[in-house]
Amino acid sequence: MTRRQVAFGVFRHVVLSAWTLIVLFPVAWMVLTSFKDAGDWVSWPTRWFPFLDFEPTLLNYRQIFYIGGTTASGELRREASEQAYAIWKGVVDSGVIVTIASLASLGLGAALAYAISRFRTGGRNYPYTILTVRMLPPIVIAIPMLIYYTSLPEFFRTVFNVRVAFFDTHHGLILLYIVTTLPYVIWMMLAFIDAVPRELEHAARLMGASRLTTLRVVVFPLVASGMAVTLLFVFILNWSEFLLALTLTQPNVLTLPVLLNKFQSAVEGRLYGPQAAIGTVVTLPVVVFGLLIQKHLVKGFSFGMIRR
Amino acid sequence: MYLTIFLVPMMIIPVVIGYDFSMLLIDTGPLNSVLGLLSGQDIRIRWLSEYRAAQVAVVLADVWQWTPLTFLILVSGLTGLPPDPVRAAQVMGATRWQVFRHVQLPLLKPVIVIALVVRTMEALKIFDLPMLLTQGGPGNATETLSIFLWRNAWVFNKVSYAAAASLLVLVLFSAVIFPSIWLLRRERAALEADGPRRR
Repeated sequence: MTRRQVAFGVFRHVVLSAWTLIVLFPVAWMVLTSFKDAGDWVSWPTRWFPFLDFEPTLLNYRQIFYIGGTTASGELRREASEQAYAIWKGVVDSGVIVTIASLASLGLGAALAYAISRFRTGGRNYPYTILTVRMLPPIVIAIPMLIYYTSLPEFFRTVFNVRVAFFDTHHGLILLYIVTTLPYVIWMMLAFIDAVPRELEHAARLMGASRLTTLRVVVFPLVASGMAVTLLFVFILNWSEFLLALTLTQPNVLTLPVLLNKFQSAVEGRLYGPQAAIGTVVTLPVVVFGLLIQKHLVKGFSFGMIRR
Repeated sequence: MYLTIFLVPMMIIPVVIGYDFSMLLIDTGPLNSVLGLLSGQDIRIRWLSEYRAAQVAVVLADVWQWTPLTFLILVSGLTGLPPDPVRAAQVMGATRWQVFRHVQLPLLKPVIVIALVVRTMEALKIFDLPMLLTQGGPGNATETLSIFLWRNAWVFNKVSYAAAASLLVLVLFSAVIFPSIWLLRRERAALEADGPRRR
């Protein structure tokens, strides 16, 4: 029996380690490539080890973090692989849009989830109806949204006599992101709020606290960690959103995914080095943040579809 | 430890995964290199420019990215299982495999169905990966629904045609969405009815 258990333990670790390798392989390759100079990107046989097979360089990072117009050393280089690929614009635009949209979506969604959980707003089927929005492919919404956004200013001008633009603006994208992520927020927050015992609220109410005080003092502290997870999840969703941004922005607003896509398609011969550097830079904060709150992730990411 | 590592792909944004896999999949890339090492032959699969290989490549990338999600759903389902039936089976002398096969797996069925439904929904919408890896090509090998609509609207400039098509897609999708919502509700109800839950 014990020998079988040992064998089982070994087997288990072999399987898990194999999967770990599969998971980490692409990530490791991206990080490696980000430190390679132009000649080493696609060489055959493959160059695996830094210092042994190739000389690591920070050139790629200099290129993407370059501030100003031309190149790392000041003059415009001839080779495409030596030009600057500043990502600052994308970082700023994405940062602003995603932060505002995620926070707004979280606030609205949490309030909605509370209403649904406590007052059964909209009836029993309502949460499922909301979920249908999320199941549509975004491309189906994208085309009508484009037409809608281009015709909406006309409406505002004739009816309210104000000039507002929606296409290719920050607020246009923010509004859209709030709408598209709201179903997720509602579903996740619903699970967290449902887990708060009603008795606590009743007790607070009996002791004379108003509804808002009850919310602030009793409910909010209990769902705060849930809100953090929801925020991270929505942040990742918005941070990586590509299709809607591709359709509804450019050239004024450039979110990171759209900017990255430009690097992918615009230049003759792909520039794997800078791309890998950008990929590493963009990925790192999310992964670090995700690892920090990973305890809550298991609960949060299952969309509250499974209650624990 | 393993849990932490397994979740990493889900946190990488799809555009970056597109980058990453286009690096991995070039014909002198590391994937062919590894395959060559494993099989002992010189393998030069042109992953992104052959019909079948491109399809496989997109599937590979998508599976790599989204396995963590199903993994998470299943893990949270597994830890949420009521402990009593397992203990009862152990007392009656069931081996670990028997406990898993005859007690935990049936109890986990609703969760598996939920994971399947969620993943199917997401996979049907797939856009970013084929867009970044192959632009729907070579030919139309990886032209998913979303890519088809996108190509028609912005590449061929047939916006009204694409709008009409997306209306049709909407109708088609509701034929998939409503059954899956029904499934979701049923399995959730089954989950709730599963006796006392651990908290």
